[in-house]
Amino acid sequence: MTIYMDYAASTPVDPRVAACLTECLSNPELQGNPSSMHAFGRKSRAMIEQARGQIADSIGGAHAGVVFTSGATESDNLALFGVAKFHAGSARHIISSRTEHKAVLEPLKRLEKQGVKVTYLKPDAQGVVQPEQVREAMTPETMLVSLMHVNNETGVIQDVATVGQLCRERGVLFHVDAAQSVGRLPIHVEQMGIDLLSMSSHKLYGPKGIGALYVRRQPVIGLEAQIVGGGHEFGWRSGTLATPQIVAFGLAVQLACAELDADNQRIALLRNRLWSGLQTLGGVELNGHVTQRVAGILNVAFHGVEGESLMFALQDLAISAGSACSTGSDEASYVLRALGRSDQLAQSSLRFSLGRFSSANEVDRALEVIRREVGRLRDIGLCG
Amino acid sequence: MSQVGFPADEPLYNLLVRELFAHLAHAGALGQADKVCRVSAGSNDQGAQAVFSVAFCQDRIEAVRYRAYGCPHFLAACEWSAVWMEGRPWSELAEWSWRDIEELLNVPAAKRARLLLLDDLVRQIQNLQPR
Repeated sequence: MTIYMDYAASTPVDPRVAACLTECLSNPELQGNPSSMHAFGRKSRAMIEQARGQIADSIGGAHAGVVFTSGATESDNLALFGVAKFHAGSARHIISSRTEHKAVLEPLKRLEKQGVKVTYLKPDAQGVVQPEQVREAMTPETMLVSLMHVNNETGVIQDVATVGQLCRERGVLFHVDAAQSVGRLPIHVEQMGIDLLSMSSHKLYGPKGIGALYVRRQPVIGLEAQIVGGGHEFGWRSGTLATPQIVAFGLAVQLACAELDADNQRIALLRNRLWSGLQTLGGVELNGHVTQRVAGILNVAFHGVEGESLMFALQDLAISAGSACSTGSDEASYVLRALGRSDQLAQSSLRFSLGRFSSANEVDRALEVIRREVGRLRDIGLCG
Repeated sequence: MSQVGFPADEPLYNLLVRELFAHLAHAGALGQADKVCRVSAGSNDQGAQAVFSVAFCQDRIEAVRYRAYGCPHFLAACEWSAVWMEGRPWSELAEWSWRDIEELLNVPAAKRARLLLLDDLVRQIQNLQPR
């Protein structure tokens, strides 16, 4: 049976969340449109507001700041396009980094075509963007800084609290893509100076297709809606709210934050067990900072093996490559290249991501498969 | 879950690629006997590299082994070629075609350069004079 080690791509739904989702889907009292004034609608609305509160409380924000979206990609789009369009004609400079998720990089590319100047900071070889780099890149034109909290490929944590403080001092808005960090790291948007925070349910044991953008309300920030219609979500995101998914998302966030320490301790032990086992193979390198990383993500470069063959040989493991070469494209991971890895080593890198339901037995079984297959590929290769 | 029907999963590699990749029986190298010749092409930087060692017996290819670095399609192509060549008269090497392999292994067009690299190897072998 395939061993699931791809929690950074998507987590399984926690059984408690699944039970909540099923209950919401089957409960006739929650069948109403939450915007309706009748009893069914009001009941659904109450459940949604409860979820909004659960999420806001978990990140130290105001309840009214949580705007439900379809996921982190939409949240990133709303934050970037929303701010840029609201401020069109005034400040026209955004600071971000080269290792952001495509959900940030693609909107930025489009904004550049519309005349917005974007500075892409280069992280160091460990994948860390220093707050000082952000300070140096700021100009009087800077309207927004957008940085991810935890990198989805390497698991490296950025010092968003220091960057947030810097942004507050300069009166610059600060957006954080926290898809990989909510429920994995403590977050307090007010204390960390975060104005906009993107979240995703399916990265923290909730259902897919639901997420949120936290938008600071005091003082309110300028944000232009990208989906317009009935004026839902304070006018920032129109569309009928998905009551069951939102309620399940709220519970998932609450559980993840409540169990954060226990989960992290257990997952870090498993990750260390995996890394120790991989090191015995020889010819392996860790991608990203050794300590400034989340517990569950381990990105490893394997010398002497080709990435696509390695992925194929390890098909009993659900893992991700640092490249998209399985489609025939030779493009290596832009994140690993930004860290200074060669194309070849970037292609021979794999991301193992562990989570709440990972076990020591799974790690040991995975190590057995990896040892066998890496050995086989090295033997037939030119290093063998 | 009983109500959920999963559509068939379309594999990235066809059955032949999967079988060859799982049993790369000709991977390795032949000894340094007088009758063994070596040819090589590609590089790790190019994403594919192979070294073939070929033993001739009069006008026949007696044995073929290879060491290779590359994607599953490339490794499968190396294995298929080794099987194809072994035991064949040297004069028949002209019949080896990368186009046949492209079709048999359903190799994506984006990887054609890797097959051409293999073509280069086979032509090198073809140009060797059997000893």
